[in-house]
Amino acid sequence: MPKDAFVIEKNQFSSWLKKLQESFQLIGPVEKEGHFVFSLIEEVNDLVMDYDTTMLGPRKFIFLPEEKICTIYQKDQGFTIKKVQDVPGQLLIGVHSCDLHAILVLDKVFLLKSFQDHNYRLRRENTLIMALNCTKVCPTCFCSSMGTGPFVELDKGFDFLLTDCGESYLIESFSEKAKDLLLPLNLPQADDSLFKKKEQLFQELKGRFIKNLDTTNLVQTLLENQDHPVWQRTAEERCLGCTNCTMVCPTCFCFNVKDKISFDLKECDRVRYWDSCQELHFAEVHGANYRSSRKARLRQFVTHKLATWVEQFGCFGCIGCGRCMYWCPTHIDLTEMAKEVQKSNFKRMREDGYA
Amino acid sequence: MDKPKVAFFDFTSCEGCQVEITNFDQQLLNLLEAVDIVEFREIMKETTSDPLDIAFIEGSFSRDQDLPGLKNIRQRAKIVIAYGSCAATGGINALKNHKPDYQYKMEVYGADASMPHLETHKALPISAAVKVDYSIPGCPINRDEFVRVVSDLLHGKEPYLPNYAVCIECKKKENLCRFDNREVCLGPIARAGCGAICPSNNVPCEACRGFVDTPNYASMIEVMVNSGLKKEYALTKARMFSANILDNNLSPK
Repeated sequence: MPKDAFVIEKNQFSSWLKKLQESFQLIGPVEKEGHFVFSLIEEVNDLVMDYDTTMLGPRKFIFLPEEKICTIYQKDQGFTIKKVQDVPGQLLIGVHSCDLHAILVLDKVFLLKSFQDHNYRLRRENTLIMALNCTKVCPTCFCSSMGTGPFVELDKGFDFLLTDCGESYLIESFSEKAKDLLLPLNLPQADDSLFKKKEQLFQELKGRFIKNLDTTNLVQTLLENQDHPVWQRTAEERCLGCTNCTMVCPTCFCFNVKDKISFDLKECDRVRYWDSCQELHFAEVHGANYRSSRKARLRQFVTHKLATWVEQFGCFGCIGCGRCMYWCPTHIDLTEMAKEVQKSNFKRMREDGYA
Repeated sequence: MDKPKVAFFDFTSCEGCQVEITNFDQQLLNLLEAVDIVEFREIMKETTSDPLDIAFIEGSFSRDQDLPGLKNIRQRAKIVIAYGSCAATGGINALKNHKPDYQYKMEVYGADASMPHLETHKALPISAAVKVDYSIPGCPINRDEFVRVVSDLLHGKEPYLPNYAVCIECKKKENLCRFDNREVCLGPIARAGCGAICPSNNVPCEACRGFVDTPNYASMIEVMVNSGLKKEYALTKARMFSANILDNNLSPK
C-alpha cells in the first residue's frame, strides 16, 4: 500500500482524538503513581505521549488479564453456550515499536491458520493501533538489538504511525481504515525534509542504547547449554519465583481457565486468566511436574523467549522492552544470563576438553 | 432433599473472619439458599449437637482444654474447613511461639497473668489437633474465595487455592511496586488469592495468607535487607502472619 504521510499540529491532534472518542474507546499511556500505564482515556489531556515505558504493555487490551470466554446456561436436560460477541471498537494510542512488535508476535500465537482464538480475533479485529516512534531509551531496554525498535520499520499490522516533531506530529497511515479517518482532516502532506528529520532522529537514537544483546547463533548457543551453571545459580541466589517477569512481558500468552458456577448450577461463566510458567504448578501434569525446580522454570522463561520461540513461531519471543528485569525484585537480567552462556559455552568447552 | 447443615466455630482468634462473613450482604443470602446454617455465634443464639455436613473452624489451637471440643466437631462433621489464617497456619497468634510464656503474658495481662483460662501452649493450626480437610487462609478471609470454596464443595468439585505469588494479582492491577516506593513487601513469595488488596491500597503485603509452596526464603530476606532492613527485622517482619511456617523452615542465625 502506498503510504500517506501528513503533518498534524498537536492541538489539532487532540481535538481529532476527542472526535474519535465518539466512535472508539481510546486507550493510551497515562501517569499512575509516578510510572505509566495504558489506560482507557476519558480526558484526552490525560494522555502522556512522551512516556518512556509502561508496566504492562497494551496487550492487556487485546489479550485481557482475565476475560470471559463464554457463558454456559443450563437448559432442559442439556445446556447452551453463549460466546463473547460484543467487544467495543478501540484505538490504542502511542504504542511504541517494541509493543507493536509484541502484538504482532501475539498475532502469530493466537491467529494460526489452523486455529484462531475467538476472543483474541474479536478484539484484534476491533482494535486500531496508532504507533508512536519511541524517543526514550531506557537503561533496561534493548529493542535495537532485537530488531524491534526504537522506530517502527514495518509497513503492516497497524494503522497509524506518529513521529513527534515538536509542535506537530508526522502522521503516516498504514491501513485503509486509517486513511479513511484521516481524510476528512484535510491535512497538509509531509515533505521530504520531515522524513530527513525523522531519519536523523532515528540514527541518533540508535547510538544511545546502553543495553544490548548479540543474537548471532543465540538460539543454538542457548539450546546447547541447558545445563549451564548460570541457570542453577541465578535460580538459587536470586529468583523468587514471583512471576513478575511473565506478568509484565508483552508477549507472554499462557492462560488458565476456570469456571465460575452459580449456586443454583443454572449458569456458569468460563473465564480465562493470565498464567505463568514461573508458577510451581504450571507444568504439573497427571502424576508429575516436569518443571518442579526454580532452575527449570527460570531457564524455561529465558530459553523460550530467546531460543525455542524461534522454532515455534519464526521470531524471537523477546522484543527487548526490558520490563522483565525492571520489575524483577532482584533485577534478574536475561541479556546478562544469555551473555554468560555465550561467554562460557559449556558444550563447546567440553568438546574442546576444557570443562 | 435437605440442605447441607453448616456450622461455624471459633477458637483462639478475634472472630474477625466470622464478622467478614456476616458482611457478605447478597452473597451471604445466596449462600443461605444453598445451605442451612445451624450454629454461628456471631449471628444466632441456637447451637447444635447434631451431625454436620461442613464445620468451619476459625482460630488457632492454643489450649489443651479446647481439644475435646475440636474432636467433637471432627466426629460430627463430614468436612472440616480451617478458615482464616489463625486456623490455617496459627496466624498472628503464633508470633508468641518463640517467646517464653510468662514474658508476653506479663506484658499483656499484668496482674491477671496467672488466670487459668490464659494457660496456653504454642499457637498451632487446627490441623495440629484434628484432621482438617481444607484450609482457607487470609486475615481476614477473602469473601469471594470463601464463597467459591463452599460452592465447589456443594457441587462436588475439589476446591482450588492459588499457589502463586501476590505479585501476579498486583501486576495485573498495575500497582506501583512497593519496592519502587522504598518499602518492603512480601508479595513475591506470599500466597495470592486476596486480589493484592494491601498493595492496591498502598500498604506492602505482609503475607497473611502464608507463602507459596517452595518459596526462596533466602533471596526474599536478601531483597528485604537490600531494601534497608536489618536481617533480624526482616525475619521479624516475615514472621508477622507466618511464624509457624517460617520457624519450621528457617533457623534464624
